[in-house]
Amino acid sequence: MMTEYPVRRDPKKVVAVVAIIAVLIVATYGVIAFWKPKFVVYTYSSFMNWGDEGAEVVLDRAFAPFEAEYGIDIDFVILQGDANFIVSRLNAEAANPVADVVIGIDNILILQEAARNVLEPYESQNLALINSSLVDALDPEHYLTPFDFGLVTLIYSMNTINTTTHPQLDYLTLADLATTELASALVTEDPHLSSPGLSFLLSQIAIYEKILGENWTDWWEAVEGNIDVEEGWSEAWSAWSTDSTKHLMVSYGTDPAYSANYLGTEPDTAIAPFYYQNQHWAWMQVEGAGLVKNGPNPDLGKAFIDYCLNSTVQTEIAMNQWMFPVRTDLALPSVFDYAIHPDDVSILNTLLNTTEIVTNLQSWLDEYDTVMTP
Amino acid sequence: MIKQEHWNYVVLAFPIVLLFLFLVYPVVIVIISGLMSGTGSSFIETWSAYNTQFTATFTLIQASVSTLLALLVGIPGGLLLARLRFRGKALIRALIIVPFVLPPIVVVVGFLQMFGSFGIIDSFLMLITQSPTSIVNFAEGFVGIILAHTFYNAPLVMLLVSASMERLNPEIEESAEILGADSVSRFRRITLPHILPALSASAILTFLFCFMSFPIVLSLGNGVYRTLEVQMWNAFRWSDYGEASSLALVQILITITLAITYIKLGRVSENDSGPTSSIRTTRFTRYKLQEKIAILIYLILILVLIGGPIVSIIRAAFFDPIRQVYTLEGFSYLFTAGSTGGLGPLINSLFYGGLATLLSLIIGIPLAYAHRSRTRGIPLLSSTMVLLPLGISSITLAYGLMTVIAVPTGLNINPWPLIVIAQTIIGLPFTARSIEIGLRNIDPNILDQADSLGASRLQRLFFVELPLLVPSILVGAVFAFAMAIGEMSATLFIALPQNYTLAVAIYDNLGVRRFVQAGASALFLVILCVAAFLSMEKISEGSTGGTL
Amino acid sequence: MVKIDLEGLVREFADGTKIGPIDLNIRDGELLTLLGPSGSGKTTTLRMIAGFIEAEEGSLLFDGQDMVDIPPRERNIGMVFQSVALFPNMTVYQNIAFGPEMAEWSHEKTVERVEELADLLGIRNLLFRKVSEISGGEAQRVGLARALAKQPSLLLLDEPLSALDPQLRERLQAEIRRIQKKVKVTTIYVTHSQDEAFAISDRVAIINDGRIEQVGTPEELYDRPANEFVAHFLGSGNVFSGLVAESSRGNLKIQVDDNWFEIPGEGEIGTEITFSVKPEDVIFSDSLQEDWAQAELVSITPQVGSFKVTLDFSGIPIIALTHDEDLVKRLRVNGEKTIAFSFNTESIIILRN
Repeated sequence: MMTEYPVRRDPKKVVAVVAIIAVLIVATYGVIAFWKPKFVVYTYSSFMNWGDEGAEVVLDRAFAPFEAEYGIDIDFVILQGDANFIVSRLNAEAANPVADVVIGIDNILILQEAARNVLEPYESQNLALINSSLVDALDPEHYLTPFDFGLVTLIYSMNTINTTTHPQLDYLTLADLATTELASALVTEDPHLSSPGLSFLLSQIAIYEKILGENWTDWWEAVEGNIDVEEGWSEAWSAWSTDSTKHLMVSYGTDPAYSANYLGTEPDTAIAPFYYQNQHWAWMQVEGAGLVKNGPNPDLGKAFIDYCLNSTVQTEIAMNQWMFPVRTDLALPSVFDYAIHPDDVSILNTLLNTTEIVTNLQSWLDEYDTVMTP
Repeated sequence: MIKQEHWNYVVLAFPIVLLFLFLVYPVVIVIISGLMSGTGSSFIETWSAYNTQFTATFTLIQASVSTLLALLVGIPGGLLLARLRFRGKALIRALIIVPFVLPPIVVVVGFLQMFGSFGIIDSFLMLITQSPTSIVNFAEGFVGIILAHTFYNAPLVMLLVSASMERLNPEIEESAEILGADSVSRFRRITLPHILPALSASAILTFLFCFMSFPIVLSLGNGVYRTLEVQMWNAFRWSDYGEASSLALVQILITITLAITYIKLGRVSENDSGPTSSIRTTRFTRYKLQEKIAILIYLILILVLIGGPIVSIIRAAFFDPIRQVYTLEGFSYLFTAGSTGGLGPLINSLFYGGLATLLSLIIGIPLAYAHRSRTRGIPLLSSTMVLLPLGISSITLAYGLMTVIAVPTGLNINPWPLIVIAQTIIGLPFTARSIEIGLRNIDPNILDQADSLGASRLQRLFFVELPLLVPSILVGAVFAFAMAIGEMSATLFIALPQNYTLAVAIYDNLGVRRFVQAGASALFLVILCVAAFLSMEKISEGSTGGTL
Repeated sequence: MVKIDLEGLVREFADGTKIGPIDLNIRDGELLTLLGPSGSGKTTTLRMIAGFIEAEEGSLLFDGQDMVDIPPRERNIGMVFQSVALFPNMTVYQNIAFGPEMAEWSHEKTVERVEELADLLGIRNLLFRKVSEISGGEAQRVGLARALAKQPSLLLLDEPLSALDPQLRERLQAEIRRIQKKVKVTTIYVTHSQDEAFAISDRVAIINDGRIEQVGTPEELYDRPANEFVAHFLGSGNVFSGLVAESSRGNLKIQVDDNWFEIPGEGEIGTEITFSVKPEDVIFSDSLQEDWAQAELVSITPQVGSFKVTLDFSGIPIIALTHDEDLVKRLRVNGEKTIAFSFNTESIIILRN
């Protein structure tokens, strides 16, 4: 009979139990979160992700010897977005960085103060393995060590347009692109957020200012309502490949090689570099690895950067990054015959010198914003 | 007596201290340091730039137009809800709030699916005109943003207006009718003045939400149309902290003013809220022909505008517009682990959302008590604290937390606690308000009885008050959970890929055109929200609208 | 089991209403009722004794100890409100057991006590019911059991029966009285019903406008009202005022309008005297009598075992009580309007003002 009557719990006990559980959760977090991998590398989305196996497998394989040698786990933090976002993140964390190395900052980004602020110059001993022109093209001051390179240019899908229907594609000018037809078929990336996007903007500025001697903002005003500007390269690629009205895209000169590999036959993607002064022009991009300033493991970071120039890593670049490895002594897969090499075209970068870019970049970006706002 | 006062201060101080630490302090510091540090644009530079001015103008205009549309669409609905008698009214009333609490990014998915190219309307038009290309696309640009905002906020207006209508004594209207007033002048002179407080409150709230809108504008604006929130996000991504802080400063001034106005209005209408009068409802058949037609047209409009996007999320979960096939890939995505799978974000959503709900309650209950305290100054302090999350945008909050808390403590290597904190703060006003209403409804005699029977303050709280508060706690918890799992802005800002929630994953997938994965995730969130709200209605049988 | 003393208790409220100064002594073990009209301050006084309202002046003593800093939960009181305020989320058992459980009695002792009270109040069969499943009368009994569970030294009842129908009310009045006597707990009862107060109390305190008018047993109050308010409130007297015309041998002749009434008492000629006559001491007749005053018949109301006759004496209402059926029949049949009346002089009371 007695047991039928309910007994009250002591509130103090309940509160104590709840508090203990809460403390346990917090403690668990503390243990898990700070049980961290010893080495952090920041890079951008789609890094090494365009092969058949996916970035995880490739990176595992490429860096396993390094991890074994130093007895650490590498945490590749894939930040969503392009390299510009990484710079931003590094700046936000500058007071207390968690990353050791960053891969993906390119030869233009490094000109910005924001990028230099977060990196520590390091002259790798393995630089002897690569062509010194690449080092100069990227960063003579060694804030970045070259990792891969390629050309930023326009590509198009031969299934939707080709040189028969649009003969101008072989001799493409910006004026051609400014036509309503082609402008509405063009996808590019935001120059603030994306390195190919920035490369495209600079290409256009170089052509207008140095070749044509005109006001570069005019071109953007002309295409403003028609052009599709995506946030980053992945988004642009998705738009270009899924939207049947988008024929042209700002992308890399190696895309035909990718297409050939994917199809197993001739590529259906072709490139349309700009044609001026009887030459084809494209923009050269060199991406590098940099040591994060005040990073947690500077010595390991340096070793890592050295290691990036080893063949173990460099051989993966071609088929997974679809860029040219800086180790030009290594053999390239046959599909790369379809890719254009910087030696095949004139380089737009030469039209603008670095001082010019450094001085004007911010105001160019501001003007771009103003023009693109309705 | 004296000891009790001290305890009061301690218990009430703890949420206030927490909010100060994680809301006020980070935001203030980040704005000041951004303005002072000299990195990026200065305040003047930011605000004299054309694109900033365009953004600011656009923000104001779209918020105003959206508010107007929401009112126009919502008022008839509110009137109908109050006065029309139909079966299933209780269910409809419970579901009306659902669009408002849906995650904005889910709204985007539904909207794209319903009004976008190759969406339901577009496909239908393409079918009848046999056109191979897309004909209409209402889901982008200015039009898309306005429509999406209207979808989002019209239900809010309906709910507040109908709640207000139900307190209008029908005998007043009847007297007016006897005295010869026709329906238009009755509306103008009796109904309208009565619902005016509810209208103002919902207008301000709508304007505030549209003003701070982030996911909808980010997705549908195509990079061309931006609110101040979006531009702040961009500025941060370009490391232009000066610009970010300059924008934040002006935005905060505006949003806090709006939030204060809303709270003031809310307090006023509280005082003259009487009991629900006997509702006089009319059957549909009793209306005149032109009224019937008008009602039908309106209902169709509502069905298309509000019901449409929600239902179309179902289609979005199965139909891949790129390959034009129906597939289950979206769902298999949800249960795939690994970096390309949706299982990680799903678990994160539930985990962070659950924790945020718990924290919301733990902080919200003392805050609600603080609001009813008789000690001088405390109610004012607590209502200020509750108001702040409404008046500070999610991006600003995230910006503050990242810069001021995450980086110095090294939390940025795995910043999930900050995501939870941000989600907690965002849901807090709803939780605190719900519990406060619950507290108000407790018969004070019961509390006096407990006292006279010898219960200590803790015992009384634990054994009498909390059990009686369970319904309001539940309501608050459901709101907090819905807000948390739907939160995309702050989470996007703070999260590393391993911290992605489903809401962020949806945005990501939309960006890379993995539509069916986005759709399936959206459907999952919708089902979760609807289930939570239905179960809450069942338990509390109450006025969820009162929480607003 | 405690003696309560209120000395000069005062409390003023923001809207200007004032309670006090209140002086009242409540004896150990007695049932004292605070009786007064609505808004007279009965509930406020009760809540001051309980400790929910603080007094601004004066002292409140339990067995001589000043309660000023002691919160309600430490005063060892039990309270029952009109709304009962049972805890809605608990069963009847849990409600009654609440006090002991808060005081951390052992489970066995708690159960024993609850069952004991449940037997005492006849609600044993309700123990496992939810609060929403019991009737009003049952709820009151549960409330009472709950209040008594911890054997409080003071029991406070604030109009506990007002919401119940008359039959139930009478039954519960008797029960409350019975239980109170059995348990011997000092009890303060608040009501605005005179019948109720008189039925159950040892003593009654009449309270009006925040002040105590008179304290005494029901008989004392009824037979010897201290002033006009008490007399009117209790309906225990018809009140007249007049000037002393003559004074001799312990009798006064008072002139009221053009009539003279003889009443016992002392007084100076020319002073104004107010006196009260109980309804049953008003004698009237339908035939003219010498020396009797005259009044108009207003109404005759039958009651249990008697008739209440209302007269109008030049604007002053007089209530008389009679058992004379024949007289009443004659008055009704003949439609007589003019009645002669006089007083039974011995029981006339002179009132203080």
